[in-house]
Amino acid sequence: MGNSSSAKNRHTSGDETAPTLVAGRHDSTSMPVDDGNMYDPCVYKRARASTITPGAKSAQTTYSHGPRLLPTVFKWEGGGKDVYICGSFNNWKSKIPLVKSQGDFYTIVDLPEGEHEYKFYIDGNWVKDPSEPTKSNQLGTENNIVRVRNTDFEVFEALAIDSRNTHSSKKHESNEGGSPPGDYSQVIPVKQTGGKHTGPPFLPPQLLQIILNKDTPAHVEPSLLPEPNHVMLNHLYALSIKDGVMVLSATHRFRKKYVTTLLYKPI
Amino acid sequence: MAEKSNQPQVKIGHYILGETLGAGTFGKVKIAKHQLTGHKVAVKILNRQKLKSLDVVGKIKREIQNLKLFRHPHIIKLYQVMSTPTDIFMVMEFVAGGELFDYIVKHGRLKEVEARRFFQQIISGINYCHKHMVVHRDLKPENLLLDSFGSVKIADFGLSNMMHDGEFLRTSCGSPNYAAPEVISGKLYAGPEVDIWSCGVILYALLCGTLPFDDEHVPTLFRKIKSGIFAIPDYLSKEVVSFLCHMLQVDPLKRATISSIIEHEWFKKDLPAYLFPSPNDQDASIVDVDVVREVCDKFSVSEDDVHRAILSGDPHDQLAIAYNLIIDNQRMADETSKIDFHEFYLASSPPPESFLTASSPHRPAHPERMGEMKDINQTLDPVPSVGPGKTQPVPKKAKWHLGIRSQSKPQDIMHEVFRAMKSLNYEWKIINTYHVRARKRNSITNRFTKMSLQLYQVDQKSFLLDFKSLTHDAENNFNNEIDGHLTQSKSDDRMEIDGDSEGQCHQTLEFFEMCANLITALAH
Repeated sequence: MGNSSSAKNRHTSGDETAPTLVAGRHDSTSMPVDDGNMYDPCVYKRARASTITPGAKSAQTTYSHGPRLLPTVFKWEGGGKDVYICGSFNNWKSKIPLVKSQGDFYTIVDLPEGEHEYKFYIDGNWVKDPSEPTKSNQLGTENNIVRVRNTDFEVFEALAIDSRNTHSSKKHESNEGGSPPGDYSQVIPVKQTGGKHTGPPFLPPQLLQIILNKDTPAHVEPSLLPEPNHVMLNHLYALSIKDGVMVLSATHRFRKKYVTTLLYKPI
Repeated sequence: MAEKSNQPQVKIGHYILGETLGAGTFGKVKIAKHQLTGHKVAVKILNRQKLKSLDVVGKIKREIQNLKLFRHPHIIKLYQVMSTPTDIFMVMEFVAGGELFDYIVKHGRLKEVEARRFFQQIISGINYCHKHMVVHRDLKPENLLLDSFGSVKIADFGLSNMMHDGEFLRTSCGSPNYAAPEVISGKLYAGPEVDIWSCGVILYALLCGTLPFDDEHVPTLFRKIKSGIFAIPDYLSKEVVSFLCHMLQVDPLKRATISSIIEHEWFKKDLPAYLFPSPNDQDASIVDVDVVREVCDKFSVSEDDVHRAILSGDPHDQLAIAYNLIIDNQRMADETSKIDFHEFYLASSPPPESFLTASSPHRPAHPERMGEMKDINQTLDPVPSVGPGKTQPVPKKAKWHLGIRSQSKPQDIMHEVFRAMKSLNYEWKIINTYHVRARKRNSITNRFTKMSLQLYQVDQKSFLLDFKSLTHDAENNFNNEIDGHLTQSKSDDRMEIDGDSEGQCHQTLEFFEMCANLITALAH
């Protein structure tokens, strides 16, 4: 399932457009469960995010037939005593009661994908929620509408859409390893002179617990180094240049082990 | 559906939502019942609009990602996450005993025996998080829940973060009373050490009923934390005082680590074996036949369906969820009975010696044997406990240094770095004044070798330029990075790791080459 790639296409707000992704999604829902992409390395590699959220196959599609139903929350915060909801999804035939929950009323209705009209019925009156989108029909009455999209039900997709909408304003923690925005270039920045500028951060002491400097007791295998701290991994350590030879080392994680590599380089 | 009733049912997935247990910043937490199995769960409802407006979408995503794969008797489990157009529903383990905080408030300070039992469970859970590269960062009695058996469950991973190889964390977060000195002073930290500090504060709170560092005036509180001086009541045993002091060390390097904690005499007393299982025991690949049948009965499906569901690894799968719920409940009941059993027999006998052979007085007779090698590995740690051969003088070795040092002004150093990189035709991306990413294209493979350059201050005058190799992975977006780490922690995801580490192998030498050239260019 090209989760990651299709997510990229849907770059815009995600709140209005019915994404093209939907078609593809249906395909993936109809896939048999046991035919997971686990065994195909290529697919598996691309769809990494989806291995954690094997998405579209929800319980409804797996164990029952018919269109996939997606839970949709309806909430009424305008007060009242008896609150119901009614909509195009049940042909305006029956009124579904909302449950009171600390100041508001709510219910969850499983709806098929698409646009649905609905209206609240509060203490005998038909009311629309002014804070939700509305639409007027041929009869001239105005109803609330809700758009139910498959993408809203994939937790990580939904969160990805949400974060895309807010992300640009704020940068995330720079030490988290993701590639920062911007392009590579060869522009040397102008040196800041004068004014106050904060200095570089203090060296974290953990980086100086150099495993190669630690003594190995005489009775153990000398090539066995003490276990490194995860923060010292991937950093460059060096010996002072002596007799025209530069010696460099770095420790990397390899599966459940750590491997330290040394390079003796004449200069 | 339209019929009138006083209490209409609201369902999310297969759970019938019940009363509100509490309300947080992002929404309510409700109790819910599985419509078929009747298992109680807690459902945390997060309003997507609120998450967006508070700019915590990424944090919540992390919490979900971290928790989803976690499976530990003392960590609140996240069974399932469902999203709707307006809200996200997190279906989590429900425990009935309330917060450890209320327990302390109600019972006052605890006896050492009781505090130890809680503390052992907390450390076991935290050890599990750290092994999976997650730092909790907000440990406090309010986030430790109790189940009906009086066991601790670590909850609220909202501020947790992933640890990445070679990288530090900086964000100051959590509650000040439980925060380590380096966290409140905005220094870089590795991760586990800040949770250990919080654990030290928690243990103190359990034993004394008060906090070691407390003040209404926040700057004064910070001063107290940074001083690391706290009152030691007379009623504490000598053993536990040394234990507390070790965890509440201001210097993160001198602070206790998980491995030193689990070897401490006070901690080891009456330690249930299940809390620190040997690596081989952790495999939960054996399917419980009885539970499978129970699921079959309840869902009227075939055993094959259930097996397929369990093997699919699909966290949304109803059958798999039901299976895991029953297993978890059984396991907890088992563990509790095991503890009782254990405590019954050990009531008046010395603590078991089976745990951690390294600390047992019997040294292995044949260190060259493979079986024994593991054991030796443990004594290789910085603090060599038993080492009669230690006195032998080791021939003087050449000393390794991190990166390269300079006494020039920081801006001048960076300027030189840029000029050197330009002369070598490297490309770079500026992260901040003292932190850049550099890359060089390998003309044969056409791939980029990437590294990160960070300038650090060592003391008043000297600075240090640190070189760090970046794997191909690190250049992908943040989400992939997290997924990568989590999948690596699952041993069955081998294919992915193979691909990655192969790439890494090639890179090490290219990274050295890149560093060597830059160092040489800087020297001119």
